[in-house]
This record gives sequence, structure tokens and C-alpha cells, in this order.
Amino acid sequence: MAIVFSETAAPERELHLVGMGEIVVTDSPNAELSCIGLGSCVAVCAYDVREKIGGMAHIVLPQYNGLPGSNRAKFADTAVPMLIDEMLKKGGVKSRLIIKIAGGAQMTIAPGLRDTFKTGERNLEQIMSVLRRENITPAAADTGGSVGRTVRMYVKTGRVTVKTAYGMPQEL
Amino acid sequence: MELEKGNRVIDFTDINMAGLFGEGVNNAIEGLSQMAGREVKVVSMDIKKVPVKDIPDLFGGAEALIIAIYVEIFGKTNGHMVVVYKPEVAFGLVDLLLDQAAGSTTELNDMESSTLGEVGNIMGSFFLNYLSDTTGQRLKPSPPAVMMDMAGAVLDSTLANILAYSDETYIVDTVFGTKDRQVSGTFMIIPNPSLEAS
Repeated sequence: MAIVFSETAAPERELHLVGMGEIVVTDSPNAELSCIGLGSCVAVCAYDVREKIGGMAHIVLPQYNGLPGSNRAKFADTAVPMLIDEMLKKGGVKSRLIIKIAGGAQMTIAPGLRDTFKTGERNLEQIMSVLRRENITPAAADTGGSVGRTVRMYVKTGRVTVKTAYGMPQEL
Repeated sequence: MELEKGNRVIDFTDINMAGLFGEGVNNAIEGLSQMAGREVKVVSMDIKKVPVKDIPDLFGGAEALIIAIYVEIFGKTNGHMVVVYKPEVAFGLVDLLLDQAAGSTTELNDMESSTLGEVGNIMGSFFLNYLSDTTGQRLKPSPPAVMMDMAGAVLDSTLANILAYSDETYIVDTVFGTKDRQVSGTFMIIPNPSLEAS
């Protein structure tokens, strides 16, 4: 379950923290969706401009492992179709969806350290392959590198921002 | 072998794991002692099983800055070892090891990174030696990576590998130090099921 709370200072804002393996889709105009501190994880943001529906998936791993009780929203190959489905259920139209992705960094970099898992890279590959299958080209992406990112989406406007540990939020 | 206690199932293999990790961490601190050339002792140690999703919260939230020393484990089983410090604590550790006055280190540059990397090397090999001796499995550490970034970002790729199979993992909170100075750090040892490593 995503945590939903309103800040007392700005009661009109409705903050949704999208945790690891969670998907949030909403048409509430005051909603702000955020994935905080993404490393190899990837935030996939979807927005329907006309209906002003926003959605965000916090993807952790590339492929669904099929284990009993496993949460499909954690995996790129199952979470991206789930996000699109949820958007359509809320009244969105697939051809209108604007998809933006951010994250997929490789945090552990050191001379001689081979990254066996390459989780970020594999997450991104899998997301891109699902989007290709769905005939969707991402409108914007800020991916890879070795920096952590915090991603926010403002549902009223569809604006998506990305912030790193030392930087200011930048529009995606 | 499992035993119902309340509505929670206790797995005895887990209990052995906790003991094993505790001893391994003890051994790692012993290694640190040799590196510092002074007696560094474990003051307290707390082994906990925690929900993976809550781990960034233990360090002040997913966006809080942390310093992590990361070592990959190779052998019959692959895995990760991560030692996490709040930045000011890591700086304190650098001061302790370089025999500087407390408060001398204020940022993470090459010297500090390499000192902390050495901490990872020493702790990683001492920890793994203990595990290898006890389990008979040959385990080798990778070179260490030292990072300072948002807690969520530093930990998610590591946590991702556990999250695929389990929602909980072990962490070992330790306080260690010399006679006059103490440092607290959190160790996470994450065995990786062979499925993910293939």
C-alpha cells in the first residue's frame, strides 16, 4: 500500500509516496506522486493529458520470477502493463499516454568491481522492450549514471521533476 | 524445521544465520583493530530481522544522505555485504583510523574514500573468512565501492535482490570503538539466491 498523507502546511496537496514495487494511479488534481531515492530502481510515469490522470510505478527488478505470492508490480515486465491497464481503467487512452522514465543507475562503481547483477541496466532494457511492444515511445528519460534520483509528478499539470542528492529538481 | 510461535513461524535455519552473521561481524571488527593498530572492540551488537522496505527509514528516510561501503561476495553463493554509516559517523571513523582529532574529516574525498574502502576490504575479508571457515564454502570479496548518496538509491539495487525472494532480511547494528572513541554502524549481509545470480 502506498502511503497517502496531506501536509499541514499545504493542505490542498495530496502526497503519494510510491514505494518499491508499488503502482499509484490517480486523477486527483492535487496529487503529487513521488518515488524517493531511486538507485537501480526505475520510476515509470504515465500521464493522460486530456483526462489529467497521472500514474507512477516504482520498478525494482526486470523480470517476474513467478514465485507464489510475488508482487507483480515489482517487476518491469509485469508492472509496465499493469500501470498502463490502471491508466486505461481510470479513463485514460493508450495513444494519449505520455510516458517518462527516470532511474536505473549503477550505484556501486569501483575499480575492479564487476557488477554481477546490473539491475539498473536490465530494468531499463526490460521497460524499453515492454514499451516497444505496447507501441509507446517515452517522451523523456533521465536514466543510468551513478546518482540517486527522486522523481515527482504533479497530476494537475503532468509535470515531472527529477532531483539528485546534491541538485535542485529539474523538469523532465 | 519450523515452530509456530503465536502466528509467526520461526525458522531455525534463520536463527543459525543470525548467530553466524553476529560472529562474522565480530571477526570483521577484529580485522579493523589490526588495521587501526589499536584495540577496536565491539561495544554492543544487535542483530535484527527487519522488513526490507523499511531499511532506508532506519537511516533517516530514502532521501537522507548516507555513506555506504559495498562489497560483493563471490563463491558458491553470491551476495552483498553493505556497511552503512550516517555521514558524520563515517567521518568519525576516518578520524579514528587516521588517528586524527575527532571532527577533522568533514567531507568524502579520495583520501576518505580510500580509507573507508580499506575498511570494506578488511571487514569483508575477515567476515568472509569466518563464514568460509564455519560453512566450508569458499567465499571471496570484490574490491569495495564507497558511496555517498540518498539512502534509498544506495541500497535499492542491493535490496532489490532480496526483495525478489523475501520481504525481510538481517541487519546487524553495532557500536564499536577504541577506549576513547566510539562509532556506530549497520551491517547488512545479503545472501543472494542462485536464481538471481544466473
